[in-house]
Amino acid sequence: MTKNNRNIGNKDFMEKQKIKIISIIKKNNLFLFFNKISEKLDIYLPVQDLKNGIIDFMDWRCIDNHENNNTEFVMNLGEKTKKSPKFLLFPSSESLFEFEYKKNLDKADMVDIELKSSNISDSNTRKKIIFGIKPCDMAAIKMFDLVFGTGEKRDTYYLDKRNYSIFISVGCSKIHPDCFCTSVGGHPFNFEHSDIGIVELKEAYAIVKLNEDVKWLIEENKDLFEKESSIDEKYYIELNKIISGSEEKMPCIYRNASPAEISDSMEKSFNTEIWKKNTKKCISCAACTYVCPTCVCFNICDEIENLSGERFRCWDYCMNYYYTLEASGHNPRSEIYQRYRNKINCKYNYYYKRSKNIYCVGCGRCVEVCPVGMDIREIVSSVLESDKKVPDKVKE
Amino acid sequence: MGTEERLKEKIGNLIDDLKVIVGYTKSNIPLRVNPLFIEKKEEIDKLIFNNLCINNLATYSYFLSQEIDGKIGIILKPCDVKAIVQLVAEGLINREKIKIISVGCNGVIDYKKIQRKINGLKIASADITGSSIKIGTGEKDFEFNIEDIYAEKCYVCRIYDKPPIYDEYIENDIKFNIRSKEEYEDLMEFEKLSLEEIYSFWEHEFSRCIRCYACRNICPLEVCRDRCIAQLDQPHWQSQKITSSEGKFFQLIRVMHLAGRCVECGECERVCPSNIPILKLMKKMNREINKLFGFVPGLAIDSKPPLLTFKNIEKNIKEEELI
Repeated sequence: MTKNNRNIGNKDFMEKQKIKIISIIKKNNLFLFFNKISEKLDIYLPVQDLKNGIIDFMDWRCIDNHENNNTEFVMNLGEKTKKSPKFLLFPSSESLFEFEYKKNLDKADMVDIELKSSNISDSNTRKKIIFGIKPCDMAAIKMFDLVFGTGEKRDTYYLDKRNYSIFISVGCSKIHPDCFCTSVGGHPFNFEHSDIGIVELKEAYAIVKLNEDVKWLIEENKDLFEKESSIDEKYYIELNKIISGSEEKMPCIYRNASPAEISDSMEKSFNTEIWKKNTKKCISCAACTYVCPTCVCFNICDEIENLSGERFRCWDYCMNYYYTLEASGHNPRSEIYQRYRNKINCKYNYYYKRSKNIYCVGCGRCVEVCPVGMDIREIVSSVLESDKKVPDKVKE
Repeated sequence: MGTEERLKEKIGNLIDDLKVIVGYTKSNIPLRVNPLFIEKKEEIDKLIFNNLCINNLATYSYFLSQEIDGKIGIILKPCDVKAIVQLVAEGLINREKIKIISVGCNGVIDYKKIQRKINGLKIASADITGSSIKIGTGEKDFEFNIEDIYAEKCYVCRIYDKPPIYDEYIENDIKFNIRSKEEYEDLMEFEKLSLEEIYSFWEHEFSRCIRCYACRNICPLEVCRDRCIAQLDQPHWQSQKITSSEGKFFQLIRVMHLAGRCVECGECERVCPSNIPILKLMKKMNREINKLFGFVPGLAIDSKPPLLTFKNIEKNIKEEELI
C-alpha cells in the first residue's frame, strides 16, 4: 500500500479494478439460487431480527423459520452487521479437544490421560457460502489469513473453516458516519479479496467479480443468471452512479500520512501525555474488540469437571486487566491508557512493522458501539497532529 | 441566558478550585454525546448540555476519586445524582471529594429507542426542531415526536428538578413536560408471562451476549471492574466460554451484586452492543428488595442499604414461615 493508491479517485478506481458486469441476477431469483445450492452448501448472510432491529450473520434458513420466538428475520444487505462476521471463522468459543484422566490401578502414582478430538470439527469442513460480506470485512479476513495462516505453525481450526468458505461480497452503497475504509487503504467496492463481488442495483444484483474456482456456482444455475452479452446498458449507468455516489460520501481522515508515517508517529508518541489525555473516558470494556473484524486475540482455558474436561479457546481482549496480569501479581499494563495505547499501536504500528499493512479496515464498528464515544479516528489523528502531520478533520 | 450558557459560566467560576470537571461534549455520531474532562479554562467551550445527554457521568466518580488527589466536579442530571448518593451511603466515595453540579433535566432522548423504531437502520443525520425530531438514514427519512423517544426512565421520573443532594444546581429553562407512566409498568406486563415464556425470552436475548462486560464497566455502582469474579482465574468461578448460558449466569451475578443498590439509570442497557434488555433484571430485583425492606436506593446519604446491614427482626420476613 503506497501513498498514491490510497486516494483512488473514482475514475481511476473503475479503470484499475476494471469493473465490468459479468452477470446479472434478478432480485427475486436470489432465493431460488440459494435454495438450489443449499443442498451442497451452508449459506450465511446478514439477517435482521425485526423484533429488535439487530443485523447479524446467520444461517439463511432462519428467514423462513418464523416460529422462533415470534420474531421475523429478513435479509438486509444495506447495513453493516452489528458484529463482524469473524465469528463464522473464529468462533467466540471453540473447543480444541477433550481429555480424560484415567487412574491406573496397578501403578497408583501414575495417571493416564486420554485425548479426544472434539466432535464439532466435522462441521468445520462443511462447505459454506458467506453472502453479503462487506469489502472491509473481507479485507479483515485477509488479515486473519496472515495471522493464522502464514509461517511455520498454522492454525488448522481457522484454516479448515476458511478454506471451506466461499465469500460473496456486496459493495457498500450506503456510507455511514462511522465508515472510514478509504483512509486505511480500502474502498467500498474493493472486491480484490472476495471470491464473488456483487453490487446491489435497484431490481437486480450485478456480479462484477467472479473467481475461476467458483464459476461452477453460476454455471450450474445458468437459468437464473443473465449472460454477459445480454446485459442492458442501463445497469452500467446505475452501477457507475452507485459507485461514484458512495465514494463521494467517504471521509478521508489520515490522508496526509502514509501508513509508514502513521507507524512512525505512533512510535514517537509512545511516551507522551497524549495517551493519558485521550483515554480518560475509556471504561476498558470489550465492546470495541469483540465487534472488531480484525481483532484476533484469544485465551486458552482448560475446564475440568471431575476427571474429564475440555480445552477450548475463547475471545480475549487487550483492554482486559487480566490480559497482561502476570503470575507474580505484577501487571505491566495496569492502567487503562497503557492498554488502550497498546490496542491502537497493535493496529497502526506493530502490525505495520510485520506486514506493511495497517491492521484496521475502517469498518467503524468500534466507533459506533463504544459506550463513551471513543473514536479511533480521533486518537490516531491526535497522534499524527502531535507529530505535525496534520490530518483532515473527522467528518462531521 | 440558556441552561448551557449558565452552566458554562458556573463551571468557569468553579474550575480553579477543582482538579477536573466531567461534563458532556459533542460526538461524531449523530444523537450521541461524549464525556468531556475539563482541566483548563479554554476547554469549557466544548461543553454542551441538552436532551441528548443520556450518559450517567457518575460512572467516573469512583475511579477519579481513587486516582486524583483533590476535588472533582461532575455534571449530573438529578437522576444521575442517585448513583453518587448510593456510592456515598455505601462508603465507596468520600462526599467531600465530589462537587455535584446538578442541572435540571427535561428528559433525555434514547437513541436506541429510535434505532428500534426505525428498524435498526443506521442513523446518518438527526435534526431536532422544537418538539419534533427528523432522522435521516440515507434511504428513508423519519420524523418523531420527542415525547415518544425519551428514555424509559424519564417517564417515571419524579426528581427531574430536585436532585437528592447537590453542591450547585442549575435550573433548566425548558420545563419538564412528559406525561408520566406508572413505575414498573413494563415489568408488571412482563411478569404476566408464563415461566416457559420468560425463559425462552431470555434464552433468545442472551444468545446474542458476547460477554464484553460493557454493562459492568459502565455501571456507576460496579466498582469491581478489575476484580470481577466472572473473570478470575484462581479460583475459576465461572467458565470463560462465550455462550448464552454463561452470559445469563454473569447477569445473575450482576443482579445479586446490585440488589438494593441499582439506581436504574439504564446505562447497562444503553451500552449493550447486543441490545439485551438487562435493566429488566435489575428492576425486578429492586422491586423485590423494595417489597421486603421498603428501601429505594439512591435517595439519602445516611440510609443504610438493607443488604449491607443487619437487623435482628425484619418486618416483612417471617422467619417462622421459612423453616
